[in-house]
Amino acid sequence: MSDAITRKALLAGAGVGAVAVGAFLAGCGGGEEAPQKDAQLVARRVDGPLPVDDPRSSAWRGDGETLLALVAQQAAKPALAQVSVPDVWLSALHDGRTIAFRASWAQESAGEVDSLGVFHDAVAVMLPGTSRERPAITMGAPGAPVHIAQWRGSWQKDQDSGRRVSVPEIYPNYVRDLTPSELLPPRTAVLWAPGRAVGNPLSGLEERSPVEELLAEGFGSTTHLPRQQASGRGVFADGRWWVTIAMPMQRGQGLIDILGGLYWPVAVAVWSGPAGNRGGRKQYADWASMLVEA
Amino acid sequence: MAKVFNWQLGRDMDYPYEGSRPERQFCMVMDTNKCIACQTCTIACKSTWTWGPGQEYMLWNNIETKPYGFYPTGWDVQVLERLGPQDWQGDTYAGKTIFEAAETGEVAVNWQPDQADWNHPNLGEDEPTGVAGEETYIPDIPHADMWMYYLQRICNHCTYPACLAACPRQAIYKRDEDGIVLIDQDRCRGYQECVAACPYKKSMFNIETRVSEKCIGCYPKIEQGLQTQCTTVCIGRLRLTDFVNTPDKADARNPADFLIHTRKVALPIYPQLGLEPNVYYIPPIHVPPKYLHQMFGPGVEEAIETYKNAKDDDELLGALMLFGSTEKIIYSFDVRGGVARGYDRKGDELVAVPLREPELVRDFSYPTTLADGTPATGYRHNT
Ligand code: SF4
Ligand code: SF4
Repeated sequence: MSDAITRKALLAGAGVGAVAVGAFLAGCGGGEEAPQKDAQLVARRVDGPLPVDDPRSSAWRGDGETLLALVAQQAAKPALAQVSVPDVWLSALHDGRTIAFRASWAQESAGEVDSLGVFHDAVAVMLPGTSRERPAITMGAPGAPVHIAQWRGSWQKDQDSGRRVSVPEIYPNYVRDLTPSELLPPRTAVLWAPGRAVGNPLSGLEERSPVEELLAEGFGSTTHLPRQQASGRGVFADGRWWVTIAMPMQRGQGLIDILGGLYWPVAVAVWSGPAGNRGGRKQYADWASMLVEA
Repeated sequence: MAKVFNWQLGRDMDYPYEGSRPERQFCMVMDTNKCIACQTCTIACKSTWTWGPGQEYMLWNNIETKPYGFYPTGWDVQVLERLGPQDWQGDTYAGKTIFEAAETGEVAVNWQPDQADWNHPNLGEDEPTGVAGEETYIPDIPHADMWMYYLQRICNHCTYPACLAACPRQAIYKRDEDGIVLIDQDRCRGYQECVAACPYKKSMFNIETRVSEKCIGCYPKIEQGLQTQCTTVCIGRLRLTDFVNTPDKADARNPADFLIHTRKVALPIYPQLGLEPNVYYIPPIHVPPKYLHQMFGPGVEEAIETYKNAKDDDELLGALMLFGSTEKIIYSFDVRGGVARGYDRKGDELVAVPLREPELVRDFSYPTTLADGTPATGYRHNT
């Protein structure tokens, strides 16, 4: 099979407006106190376990927490017309082996389901893949990959409900007769779940972390990493998402280790499902500088 | 945006990718006049491809009653309304296509149906326009004020697919060997951009696998030289699966080219949208031309005239008689001595269909015998 239509990148005007988004003073932060105006993100080193399972732990608060302004992705089509989430609080902790982020942003309602024209909420943390230089904000570029860890509200709901949320949960009154698996051996029945049959990581039935690790070398090129090591948890409370994303600092898989005592670029993107965000329709914060404490 | 030539519009148009036509282009021809909305095609498709969990609402093939039937609800009026004026100057389209009218940041004029829009596959079924008089069911023949017709819908395997253009992951591709448009089930990440961008709403989201799916043109059958499931089961024998050429390369021996380019009796659906769709329709003969003009573009009245003349046009009659006559794809056909013959790619005969069956009038009475052998006269009933 070959493509009759050339897969020319759809980047409309490749230069992405680098939007200066440092730390901000803003009214309604996730942290109780607004950070210093010139504060930067600091991944504080802590002893003992990281509160990855408790996104609302007070341990996430502190000087190193930063409010990042989000802008609409408009470099590539389809684009986001306007932001619905103007900013996100980001903090980070590490214990020398694992680095964990906590993101928090306000939303009217939570998007926890994937259905027909219904989208999940998500947040992603982007780090450089193979050097400490800032890769292109357009999700890296060929030869300059980025490492992305994305948490999704739908995967969180899967985990919280102890099973993959699907038709019976979304449409409790649905009616159907025979399914392929009631009639056919599993290897044949799976053909009527094509995404699953070809091993799409979004389609599988196996229990999974609510966070997926991806590698990308530009828009539209995200690839599921073969070894998935990230974990995290999201809680929707008080009109906000509180989400943690944790990953080993020795990332392996060709990615450089995240070392303490150094500044690291980190970028964030947020998707609001109820606002129709998905894929490139997202709001993001340009690279920020994060000091990983020694 | 690149400039590509769209022969259905008679002009170049903007498209996000360079144009490159496949080696051959899958197409279907539907004779709307013969459909009885039995939905055998819908069931054949469903029971072949989409009976898994997560595909409950998926009808890659559906039959809707026009003008009030839609699946999903209002799919065509939604896009027509957003598109703005759609004027033709002769055979050249003077309005904008969905790519040309796209808002900033969008690939195409789009509409994302919500969940409820997928709830009513039978909406408007058999509903005619107007109200019948009391004295007779249909007061005027032909049905002057009241009309409806059945529209057979599958993915158009467009030459310039909007689904493909809108996918930010380039997960959708058009096969070079037959022009069938497929969603790579491994690359798709379920953004549903294809669902929003396809004006025909023939890309659909699977709730179970969380990626999008669409009509696959029965490609495993096409690869074996067979016509699609919806074609071969059709009760009305109104469907033809074939390959279509551009008008400059039209081959009148090929049934699709003959119907589309030579006799111009089969027309594309909503050509003004700019996708160069590859399902072609013989328009219903009893529907107001104004409505048909909007749906099938210029040439509707001529197509209907030509079609009505089929009884005196053996070649046209022959091409129509070959619909539903064989499961194999007919690459060429001819009509000789009152018989239409279809041939495969090598030129071997697949099927021969007489244009007119011999007429036989049986006598009302006939000689027979009673049980005891007494000669008697028998009478036919219900003959
Ligand atoms: S009809 Fe829709 S889904 Fe099918 S090829 Fe055209 S744009 Fe894509
Ligand atoms: S099987 Fe043929 S006659 Fe029946 S609904 Fe489908 S297209 Fe119409």
